[in-house]
Amino acid sequence: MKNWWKILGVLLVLYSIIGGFLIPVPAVNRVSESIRNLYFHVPMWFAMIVLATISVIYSVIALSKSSEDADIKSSQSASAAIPFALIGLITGSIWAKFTWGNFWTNDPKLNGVAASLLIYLAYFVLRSSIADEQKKARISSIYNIFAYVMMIVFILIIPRFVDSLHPGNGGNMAFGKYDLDNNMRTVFYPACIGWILMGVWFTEIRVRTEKLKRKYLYGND
Amino acid sequence: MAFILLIFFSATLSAQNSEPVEMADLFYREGKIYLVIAIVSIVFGGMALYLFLMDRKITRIEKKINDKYV
Amino acid sequence: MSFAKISALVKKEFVLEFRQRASFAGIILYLVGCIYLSYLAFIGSELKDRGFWNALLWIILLFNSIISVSKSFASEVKGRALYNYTIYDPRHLILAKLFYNMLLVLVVSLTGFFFYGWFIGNLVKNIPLFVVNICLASMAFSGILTMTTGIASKINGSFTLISVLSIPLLFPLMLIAMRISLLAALGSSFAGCAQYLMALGALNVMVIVLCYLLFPYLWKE
Repeated sequence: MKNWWKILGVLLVLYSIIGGFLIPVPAVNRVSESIRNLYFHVPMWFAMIVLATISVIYSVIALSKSSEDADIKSSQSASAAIPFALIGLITGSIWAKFTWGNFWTNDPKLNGVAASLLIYLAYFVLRSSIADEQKKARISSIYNIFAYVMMIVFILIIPRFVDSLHPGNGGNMAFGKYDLDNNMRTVFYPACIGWILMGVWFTEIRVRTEKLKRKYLYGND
Repeated sequence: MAFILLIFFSATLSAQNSEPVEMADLFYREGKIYLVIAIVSIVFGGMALYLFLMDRKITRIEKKINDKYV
Repeated sequence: MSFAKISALVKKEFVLEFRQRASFAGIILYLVGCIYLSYLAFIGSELKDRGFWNALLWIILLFNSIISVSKSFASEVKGRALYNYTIYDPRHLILAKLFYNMLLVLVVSLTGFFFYGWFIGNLVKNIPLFVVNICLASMAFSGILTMTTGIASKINGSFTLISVLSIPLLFPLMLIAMRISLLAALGSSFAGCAQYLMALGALNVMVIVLCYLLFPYLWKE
């Protein structure tokens, strides 16, 4: 059946919940059991980046083929990326309060995500200020491409330069090297894939709803 | 979820690696972890079920509109 | 790629600017006004902290850049769009506008730094590095601002829309520029900031390339 990937996504996330609590984790200083948060906090970012990438790919298609369908997919996947970013920030803040001491610190990844969130919100403001659908598609696709490039610069490139509290940047041990031992990998990778699939499911539902709305408003075209 | 776990360990951890890191082993031995797993699974499972029902509703609307407009 | 055509367009920009010298004067007036206001705000307490000094300067430069570029597309009147489209290639137009705006923002920023140092005092130890940083950052500012002003002009955008669209996009740029700026003020050498300067340079190139590729899509009405 054609919705197998949705069920796979749900099963993978369920597996990550059960395995995440049952499978033993390495004992790391300061983080202790809360390292299990890795299974839930980090997949949010992977899902967000994958959805943003899908969004920009459809933006490019929308521009080159003047396709309204591609524009719908582009905007709805960007919409679906926003809650992942918010939940990632909130869960990260709570985790930070317990391990680093503050809800918000001067960490480049936090700044990067917050700024990227603002950039994409500006994208939605732009979309809402244009009435004509075709013009909306063209102009917001252009902005989407800029937004994606800036987001990648901000989230992935700048943290390499700057000192950071996050593991893996600026002098801290990478999660990948020491602590993400093989046990954790067996839960972490399925969790990421599961949440990415869930994100794509959210997007698909939004896309279908938007298409129905347009068909209802503008008739059969 | 991390919040609930962290309530159950209260040691202040120092920066030295020689001290054993306190993990929530007592919690695990008492089997309370299964309660946590059950609750979180039900929460997530409930949301997934809701999502699935919405998906089905949209499929039905799509069929209805396609019949009407096709 | 006709340099003759591009330079003709650039010349047109200059001519238009000199015909209405009032707008350039207005930009300089706004700049000096901001700086003098900041000076008044600091009467009584000496501004000795380089961090504050740096932050204030960049905020002033940011808003003045936005103001300077916001008038850029005002001359592209709606009715003449089709005529213009048949006369010249949008790529030539965007290159001309980019070149002109970069020059404009460069002049405004350097003037701003000059007046800022005059009124509020110069706390910079490594001035050449500081000036190079302002030049690179101004070019990148104007690149992004030119694009967003172009977008806003297509949708009868107000100044608010330009600000909303461009300020989030400028965040990563501001971060790098302010970082180099603070290091320069503290006396770091060119070598110490090498990776940041390269990042800034790369960002410039990326912005120009994106503008060049995407502007034709924006312009076909």
